[in-house]
Amino acid sequence: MTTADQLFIALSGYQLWDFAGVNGLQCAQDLAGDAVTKLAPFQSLETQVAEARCGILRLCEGNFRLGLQGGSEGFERLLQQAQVKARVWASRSDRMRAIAIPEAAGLELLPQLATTKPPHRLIGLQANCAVPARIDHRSVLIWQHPLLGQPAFELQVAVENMEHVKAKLSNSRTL
Amino acid sequence: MQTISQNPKSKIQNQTDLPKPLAKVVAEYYIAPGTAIAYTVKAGQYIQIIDIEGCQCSDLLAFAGGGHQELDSTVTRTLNGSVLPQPGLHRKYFSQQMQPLFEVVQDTCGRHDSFALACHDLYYEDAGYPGHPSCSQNFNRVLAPHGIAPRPGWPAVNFFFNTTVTSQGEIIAGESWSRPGDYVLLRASCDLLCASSACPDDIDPSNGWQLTPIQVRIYEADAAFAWAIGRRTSAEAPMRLTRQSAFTQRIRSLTDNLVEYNGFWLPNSFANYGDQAEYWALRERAALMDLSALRKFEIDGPEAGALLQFAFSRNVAKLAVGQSAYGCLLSPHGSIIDDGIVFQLGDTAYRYVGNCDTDGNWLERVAQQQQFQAVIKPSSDDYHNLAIQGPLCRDILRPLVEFDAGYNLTSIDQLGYFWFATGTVASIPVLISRTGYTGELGYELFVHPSLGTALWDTLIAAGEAVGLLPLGMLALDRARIEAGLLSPGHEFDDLISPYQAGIGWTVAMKKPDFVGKAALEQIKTHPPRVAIGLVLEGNEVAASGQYIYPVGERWRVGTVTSATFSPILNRSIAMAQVVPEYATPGTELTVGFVDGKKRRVRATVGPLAAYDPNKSRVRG
Repeated sequence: MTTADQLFIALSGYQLWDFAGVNGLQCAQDLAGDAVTKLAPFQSLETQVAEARCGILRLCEGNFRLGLQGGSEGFERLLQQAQVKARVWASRSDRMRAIAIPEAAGLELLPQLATTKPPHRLIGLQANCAVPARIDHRSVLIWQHPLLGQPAFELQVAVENMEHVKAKLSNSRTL
Repeated sequence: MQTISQNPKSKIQNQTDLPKPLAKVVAEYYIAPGTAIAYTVKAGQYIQIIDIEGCQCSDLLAFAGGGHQELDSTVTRTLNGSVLPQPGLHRKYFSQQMQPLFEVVQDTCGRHDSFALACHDLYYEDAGYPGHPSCSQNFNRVLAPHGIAPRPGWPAVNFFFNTTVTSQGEIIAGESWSRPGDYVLLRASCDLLCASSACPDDIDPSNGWQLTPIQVRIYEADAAFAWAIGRRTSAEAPMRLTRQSAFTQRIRSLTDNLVEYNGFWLPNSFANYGDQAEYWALRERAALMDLSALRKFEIDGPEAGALLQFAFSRNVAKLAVGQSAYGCLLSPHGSIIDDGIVFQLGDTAYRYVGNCDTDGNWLERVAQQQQFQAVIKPSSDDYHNLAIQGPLCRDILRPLVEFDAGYNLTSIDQLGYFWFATGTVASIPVLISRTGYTGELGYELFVHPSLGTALWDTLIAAGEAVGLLPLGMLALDRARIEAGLLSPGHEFDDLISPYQAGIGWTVAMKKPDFVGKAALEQIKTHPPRVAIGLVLEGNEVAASGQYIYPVGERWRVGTVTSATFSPILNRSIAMAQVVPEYATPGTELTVGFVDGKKRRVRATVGPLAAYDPNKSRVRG
């Protein structure tokens, strides 16, 4: 059993980017290829964008989120190119942060701590799928996908709630 | 002073006139006409509000946390994304703190009000009735002992109050839709103090100008009630609650996103997948969907064929046993009563599969009028049906299917387009039909409901290796729009002819006589509108009801009937109906977005089916 300190996967340099708009899907295609067209909302895929590893999560018809592992310079250049011909806004998220825990820890902790609202289901959540949830009344987007080469749960949380959610996870782990 | 009431006293004088309780009653309240009561319920208990005689509104207030939380219709509308909660996914009524207070479990009326206050003194005073009793004052009186401060008007949920919001933003009220015995069944999410009224409004049509009582029953929390919406399919038809198909139990294990469709609970999409993922399974592999909401009728007798030849648009005389045909039931004025498929089961035996319970009544009426010797028997409860569709569906079925002797079929590969046969799928008796609603190679499997779960499990297991997914209504709608397939209420109704809807090819005009022939001969020469497909410029998706204009003109030439983004074409597409002068393929038109004036998006006229217009995939 890991201790609370070992619970979290270090995500140094990890960046969340959002883009959305009428041409959001086409922008995602330009960045990550045609495979993104096969994603439904709250499904994701892992890919490489401008030599950076990233997960791309579809949130709505034309809304996408990227979790970038590595430098963003190349990605930003590609994004700018894609935006030239597309009606989309894009921005690096400064309102939320990502916490990551290994898959095994997530499977143990999240069903105890997180609640979802139908039709979303946490139980049975498959890899490369996400679900909006609440942990201790705080909004969390739970995204199951590989991070740094290992199966993981990524929890995206508003900046002001991050420490609270981390503490909740840590405390539950040590109980 | 003697008063003479033109309103007869309530006919309900004793409990025997009341509808039977739905479960063991733990408390029961009679609300006399024009009055209100307050009562408490515990978390989990059920509240049934019954309109005993019909056409009587009953407003409801609910308080939790000692009166600190109360019903908030604005919060409720916002969180549900609808005017009123309904049994199903969006079923909860919320407080101003966004906490659920209660949820709708069953509703047999379907028309209530969430916009207006409970009736109040000012309403009556402005109408010239000072001193008239009001729900709000009645509520003040019964809530005072519970420490709830009075208000001039209470924001309530007004059950059975028929209001609607017009496109101009007016709130229109009219006579209640509720009939004797109609009810709403609610489940308390927490301990509640409630107040219910039998509305005293007799100065407008809301209560049919006649005040009647309301009955409230409380059932224990351990009572089991299915979510259901009561529907009547015709003026005389009995109310029927939403049903589960033979496959619903399995579907519920895979999704909580079910919607009421045509009297059945059907999945919108599935957990872990969703619209696009299910769509791509259909287009590239295989998908399984529940089509049990279709209505089935057996038509038997020496003149069953003659009846269908007269009532159905296709030339049924050309069918052989084992063959089916898509077409429509026609009205005398040449409109579509319903679309569906006729199956020839035997020399004098047919099955009609359509959308409406009333199709059987119509066929019976035509048979009587024309004195055809044919018996029409509804069989929707005897056959539930799955569709397995997609390029790999035949591969899934091949090892499982055995046909009955007499069809001369040894393999599923031999079953032609719009042919069917009886047989088994993994020893489960079925009727297998080479038909579908997706624009892909596909089969529909009709099975007795008792064997539905086994059939679902068999097909899911058999399809797993090739990536078969269950398919919900969202993905199905996307696929059928791509394939140019009609949806009742969108592409046709009983004011639209087959020529306008784009299925003029189903009308066998050479038949000597059939329902609506004279009208259709006139309509055919110049239908008021014709169906077209549109491919839009850009990725914005149009919406049903948006208007279509010639390029650079202010006047309209048509309307969008259905629209979607086609993943396989990577284009925004629409089905539309336009005046014939603008229906030529290649014509450029514009679709009015936003308010119809702010933004016009160019679109090019094409075939109704944007995807595979030659139907090579379904025939393949």
